[in-house]
Amino acid sequence: MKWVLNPYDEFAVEEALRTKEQFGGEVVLVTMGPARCREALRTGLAMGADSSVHIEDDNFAFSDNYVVGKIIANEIKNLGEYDLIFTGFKIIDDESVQVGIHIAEELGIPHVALVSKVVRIDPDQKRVTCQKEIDGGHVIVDVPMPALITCPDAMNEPRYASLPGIMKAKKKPLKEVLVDDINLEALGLSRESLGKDGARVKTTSIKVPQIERKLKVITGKDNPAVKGDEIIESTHELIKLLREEAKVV
Amino acid sequence: MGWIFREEHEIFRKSVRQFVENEVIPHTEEWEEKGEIPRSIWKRMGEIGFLGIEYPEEYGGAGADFIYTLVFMEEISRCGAMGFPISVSTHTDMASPYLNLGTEERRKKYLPQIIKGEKICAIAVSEPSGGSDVAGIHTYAVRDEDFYKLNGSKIFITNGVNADIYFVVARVGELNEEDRHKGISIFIVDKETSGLKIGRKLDKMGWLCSDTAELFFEGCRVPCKNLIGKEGEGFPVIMRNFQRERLVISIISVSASQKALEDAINYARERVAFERPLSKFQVIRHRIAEMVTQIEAARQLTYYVSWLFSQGKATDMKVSMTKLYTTEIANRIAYEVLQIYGGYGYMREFPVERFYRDARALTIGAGTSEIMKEIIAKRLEL
Repeated sequence: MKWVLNPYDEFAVEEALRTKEQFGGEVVLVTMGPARCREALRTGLAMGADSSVHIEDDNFAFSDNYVVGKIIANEIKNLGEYDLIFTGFKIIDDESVQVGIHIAEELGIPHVALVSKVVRIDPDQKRVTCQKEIDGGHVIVDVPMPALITCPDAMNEPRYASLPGIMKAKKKPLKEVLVDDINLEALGLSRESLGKDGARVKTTSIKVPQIERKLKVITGKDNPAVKGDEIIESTHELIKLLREEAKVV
Repeated sequence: MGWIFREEHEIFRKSVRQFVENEVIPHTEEWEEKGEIPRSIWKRMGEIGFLGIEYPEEYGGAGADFIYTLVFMEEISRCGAMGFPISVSTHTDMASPYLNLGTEERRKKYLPQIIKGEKICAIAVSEPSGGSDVAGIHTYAVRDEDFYKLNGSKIFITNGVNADIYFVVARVGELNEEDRHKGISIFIVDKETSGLKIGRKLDKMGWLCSDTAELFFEGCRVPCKNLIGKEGEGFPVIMRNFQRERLVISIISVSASQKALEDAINYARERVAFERPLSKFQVIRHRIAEMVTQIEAARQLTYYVSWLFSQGKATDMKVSMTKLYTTEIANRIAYEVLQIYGGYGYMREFPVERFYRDARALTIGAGTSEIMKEIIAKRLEL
């Protein structure tokens, strides 16, 4: 299987880079996940991010959104001051949509979900104005910074990692954080609350929906082997099926 | 990832693949019809850093190694029109590397424009009288104070119509029968140079989206500072860059064949005959199994020699073996995959028809299979 960066997170990276290009500052990538996430971080660094934090520890595997949000928020706090946090609005593997919101809650900052466009950033007043799409129109939301924005589909067109960018990314800092580096108690967590066993939400099963084949072929008059009486018979059968099974006549 | 590629090579591969899918494949039909690729795609490649892979950062390059070039060539060769990688690699690997042996002043002038894709390069070696016998070329240059005057003609020049910078091989002085290689020199010729005439765009069997031209030099006045390296000592320089050129052709051969085979496998799985998919017939299964094996062997040889090349250790014998094998295999595969498609394969609307035509030039361009065998035989001291 080929693992890819969550596409919504890719929009978040691109949006952060565009914000930096406009206002200056620094883009730091933060993720939690196994070793293979490093390629995604390197890609983000190659796209233009400045540094990254990788929370990588098997103890965190399959933790629930609450735990993930808390741990990531804690790492963001450790980074010092910040103005904006961009996250994907959801993750495509289990369709969960809560991590970004949990982070904002944990940090005590406002969040604007599903932002189709960042309309204005006012660095002096420390405010950000966002546009959200709703049925038949859009809503403009204005919040103080720091704030968290979650990014929906087609928010922007993420750039390619350029070759000079890839070469530069090799020298950019990639900080690794293990479970032992985190004061779980201070976060109100314990070892037991981590991972699959500690998760408050249990996934009991994942199923591929069974698609029922509904096509039924009744041999008709195109078949030269079918004789007169049989045609009538098959017509009768068709009417019967339309009436009793399909219930359309 | 394989033994040769690291994580950053794979990140680069992803970038190139996305670029090819979004910005090349949707346009190949149009480019094939027009017989050229647009300026805009060169500039775009320049922006993303694709045209300066191995050039130093001071000229705008990425300062990367040949393995990145390998990745780049592999990915752009999957676009379904071989003319595209041929045109691009002529610019990046077959022509512009001669500047590495030019003066610093010339590098500073030309490389940034080349790397940005603002100026396109061509290499002019082959002549109507012959291409393989580089020492036997007839185009000659005569020194005239601060200039050289070039006379003669070139043929089959890739990017010939649209290039801005031509790297032209010409002889200075009479042919010395004792030492035929002596006198061969390389010049940078700007398109606007007086006495350079671009002939017609040649009509080809394949590689349609790469423009190919004839060039005529009629007292073409080239400033002396445009001489690359030392006068009369260009032959070994050309032979050295031929190694890069041949290796790139090998990469294109393997990667385009791989793509054509993947398409053919998908077709064989879907196409039903005698109430079974083609892929269930032993004759087809075995044919595919054979081709997959041939491509794997060709690829591993190409990877190995590419790695040697990146270490500065690829001999001309190894490179010749690679070029010979990969291009011959590409043609065998072109024949075999087209056969799987049957009548559809003969139709223009199926990409395999183009691949069949495109593959044909591989055993000819950048040194024919016969020349490759001669080099190998010579190194064996037969």
